[in-house]
Amino acid sequence: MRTTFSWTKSAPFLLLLIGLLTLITISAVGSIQDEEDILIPPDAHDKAVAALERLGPNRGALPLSFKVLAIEGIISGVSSRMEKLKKSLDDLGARESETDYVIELEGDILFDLDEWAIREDAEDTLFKVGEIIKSFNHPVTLIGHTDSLGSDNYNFELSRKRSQSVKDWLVSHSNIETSLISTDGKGESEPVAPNTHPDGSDNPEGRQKNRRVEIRIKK
Amino acid sequence: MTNNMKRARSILILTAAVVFIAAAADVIQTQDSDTWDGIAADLTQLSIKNDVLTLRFKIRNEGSDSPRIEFLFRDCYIVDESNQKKYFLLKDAEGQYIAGPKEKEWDGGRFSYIVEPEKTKGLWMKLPVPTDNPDTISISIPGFFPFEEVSLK
Repeated sequence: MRTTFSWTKSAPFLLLLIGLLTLITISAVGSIQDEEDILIPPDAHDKAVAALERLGPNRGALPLSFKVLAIEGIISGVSSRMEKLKKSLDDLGARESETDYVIELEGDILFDLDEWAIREDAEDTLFKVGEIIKSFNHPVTLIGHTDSLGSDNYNFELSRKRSQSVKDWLVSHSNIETSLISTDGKGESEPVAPNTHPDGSDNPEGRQKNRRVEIRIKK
Repeated sequence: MTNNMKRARSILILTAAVVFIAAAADVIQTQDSDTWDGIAADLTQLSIKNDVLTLRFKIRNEGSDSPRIEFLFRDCYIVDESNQKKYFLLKDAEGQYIAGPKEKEWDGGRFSYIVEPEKTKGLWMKLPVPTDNPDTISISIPGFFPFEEVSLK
């Protein structure tokens, strides 16, 4: 029996077939393949709404104008406040990332060995840090770091206590709002220098660099 | 060329065009990386609900290397240029940024993944909708040129 080909009847099927073949061809030849779908946890939205409520009516908005004013002040030299701020940043060896001013203070200056109480002779340095934070009045994160001597847990705890000590000092001595400063401790997980030499021997200079408190001031 | 062949060719062209347009429509804006060769980020979705802005991206590797794409979520933000304000990602009660995926929870969360050539990696984040309801925002992700004039309407 001979069947007659009908375009009208076959068109939807042909269209689907051609579409599928085209998709297969596109994905097989030169197209980027998806590693995975983007999965957003189901509770993420509720967490976000709660976070928004915590931020209050301004939703955590920060003015862009501060940065512009600061740069203008530094460049023109007309603002003594900004000059002073820049000098303080320079004195403390601050560097600038895309979003933060970053100051790293040596742990040996701030604390005695295995202690987290602030040394008296560190107070001048912390006073400068306090003045800078007050000038910006932007959120600050204090992050404690240790060298690799001692256990991970011990170093983690020590770094947390040290960042908290710095915060407590700044709040009580520089009258900085406690809500402006958050603290964290990384222990030995983020070294900036090798703790040992390539032959495995101790590297005291490297370890000294790793004992530090990082101060990140949002721009 | 017979009429049937002409019809078949027309259907093929039409189907290819529909598939191409559908694929292109999934991307709102693309920005290249200023740090990693061959890497680009597609902004694929922007949605607003209860004053929460949700952004989805795909990090694409069109190069031949396999770089580790790495940044901290704390360094991502949006800017309302018209009102001169910036907004960072929302944080949950534990201090973690509401974003993902996270390789580590350090500093509120870190994105740190190797993206192989011809592969993609998804990325999402939640932020506040700017208080002044601007028409557009710009989006800043470390390592990428900013997404500018992204419409919120």
